[in-house]
Amino acid sequence: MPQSIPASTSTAETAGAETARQVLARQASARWRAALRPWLTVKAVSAIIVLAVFITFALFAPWLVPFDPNRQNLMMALTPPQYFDGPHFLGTDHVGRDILSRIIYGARISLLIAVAVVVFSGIVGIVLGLISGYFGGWVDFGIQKLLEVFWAFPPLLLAITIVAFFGQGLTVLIVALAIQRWIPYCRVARANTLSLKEHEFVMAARSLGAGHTRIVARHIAPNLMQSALIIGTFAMATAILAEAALSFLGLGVPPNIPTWGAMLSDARSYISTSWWMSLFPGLCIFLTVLAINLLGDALRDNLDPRLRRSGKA
Amino acid sequence: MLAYTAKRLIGTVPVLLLVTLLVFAMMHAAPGDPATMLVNEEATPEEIAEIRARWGLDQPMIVQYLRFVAAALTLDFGESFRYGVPVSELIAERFPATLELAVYATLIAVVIAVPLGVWAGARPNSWIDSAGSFFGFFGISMPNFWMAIMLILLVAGTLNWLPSSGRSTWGIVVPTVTGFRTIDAIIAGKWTAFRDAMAHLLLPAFVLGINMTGILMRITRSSIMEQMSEDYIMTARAKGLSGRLVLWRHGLRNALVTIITIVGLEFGALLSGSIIVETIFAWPGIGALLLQGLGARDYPLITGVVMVYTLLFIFVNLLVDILYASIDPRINLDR
Repeated sequence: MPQSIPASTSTAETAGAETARQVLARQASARWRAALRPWLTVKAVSAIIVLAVFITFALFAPWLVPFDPNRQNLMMALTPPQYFDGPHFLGTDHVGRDILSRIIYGARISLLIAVAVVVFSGIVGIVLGLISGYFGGWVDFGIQKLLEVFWAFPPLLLAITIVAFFGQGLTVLIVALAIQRWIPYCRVARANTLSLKEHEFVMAARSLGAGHTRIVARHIAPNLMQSALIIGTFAMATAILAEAALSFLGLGVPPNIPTWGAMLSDARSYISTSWWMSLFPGLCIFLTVLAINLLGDALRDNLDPRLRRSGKA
Repeated sequence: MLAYTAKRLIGTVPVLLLVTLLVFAMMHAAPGDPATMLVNEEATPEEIAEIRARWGLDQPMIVQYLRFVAAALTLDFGESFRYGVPVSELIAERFPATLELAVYATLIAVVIAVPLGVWAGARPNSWIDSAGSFFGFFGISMPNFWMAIMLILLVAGTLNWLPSSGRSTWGIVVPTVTGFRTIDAIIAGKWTAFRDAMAHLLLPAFVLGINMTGILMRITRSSIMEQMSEDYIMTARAKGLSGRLVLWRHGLRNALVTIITIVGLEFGALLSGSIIVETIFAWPGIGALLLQGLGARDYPLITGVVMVYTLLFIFVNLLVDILYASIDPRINLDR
């Protein structure tokens, strides 16, 4: 009497038939959960949410902004935030440009420059560190001296000097911000290379006839990526701060591009009368940098427990 | 100790030479002719040539560089294009203001960060640890120029507690002895002048020190945590010392080496920060001077200030290295 079989038995039977697949699925999801668990902290989740918002701003700025960020409207100059009661959600600046639109476009330049700086300085630093650590001798000495000289300058001072001498522009700015940021990568890459090149797997590769380039590129470099990722995250936070500082001093990108730092620079003359001009762009810089620092901390905790104690990579 | 100091001093010479070379190379690789910046638009080529000869800009590169190094060694950076007076005079006049600001910023950072870091490190995962950790992230993520504007708005504007610009109120004069207004006021025995100088210092020094506060707090916390798990702490506890004594006398003393290193390293960032903070608070130091020089492409002035900042940074780190010995006898200086 097949019709009288209770539903539960039927489910149980089906379950029995699919046990293997279900077990596999359960194991897979358990692995996923185990992998995700360390990331499910208040710190990491809030950091990712904040960053997601700013990355969305940066990627989709043209479709998100209510106004052209450079459109001036002197009739509406210095309008306080209207929130939902008017077109200018966060108010306007001294020439009537919409603050929210400029903030959304500002995310673009802040993140773009920071990513470019981190990638550029990362490549330079890792390559120099690999060469320095792998070959040693005079090459190592030369690179370490170079590092010492760049390290002797107070950070940002060198960047300010470079922009001042070479004029404003995106390339100059990226070079100026990268000029000291390659150093931490180089130090860590050199130290790791020194120890990695003594490992058996490197000797094995060498005895199999691998050349220097192959050993460095295929066997040593991949082992540096985790620490490079952590250093890069913290470097990104300082790069955003430095870019904003340079823009604030009028040494950033050309003035027709809206940036958070340049907005604060404009706001300086209106501190006492129009607080909204300075509050919102600064808050964006702070939140972005805070989120990246929190993310970097979570990355370090999860990827490299050895670095945890050093406080700052 | 003396031998070590001498050795370290000599060791900085090559770095200094390379630093001058880098600054010099940058000045000359830069596009634009400083001579044309010094004259008005209707100047004749003869006038420009005269300016060039006057400032030595017509000499070969190597001569210019050697002159530059010789001058830099004696802290003589030539005459400012813009002000027409020796750069060294301009710097000497304003340097104490920058140094005073930087010293107080460091002091404020240490006074806030170290106790907070020690408390947090001694009680991991307590409420004070969470609060300290939050404050640490707050400090390292804060753009100091924004904080300056916000504090001016709040503390100097709305609340009207502290002045927002300058080093002193007009009319309050103390004879210059050290160049530090707070100390000069004490020497002169003028309480009003001291209070005035302190009131002017407080906001810019706090803002300038905020990033260092955040970093120091995090470093102190982690190195205290590390120290408190060491065996000698257990020994100290076992022999019956009070928890407070173990923490502050043993734990902190051993964590100090790390803390002082970070103070030295972060001092460079603090100096760069002074360029911005001085400009916002109209603080009459060399940072604000540098920014004026940048606007005018005043090469001797820019070079002079950059060199002074860099020398100070190198000197502070040298001092840190030497300080190690007095804190941690395990560090052998003669190696």
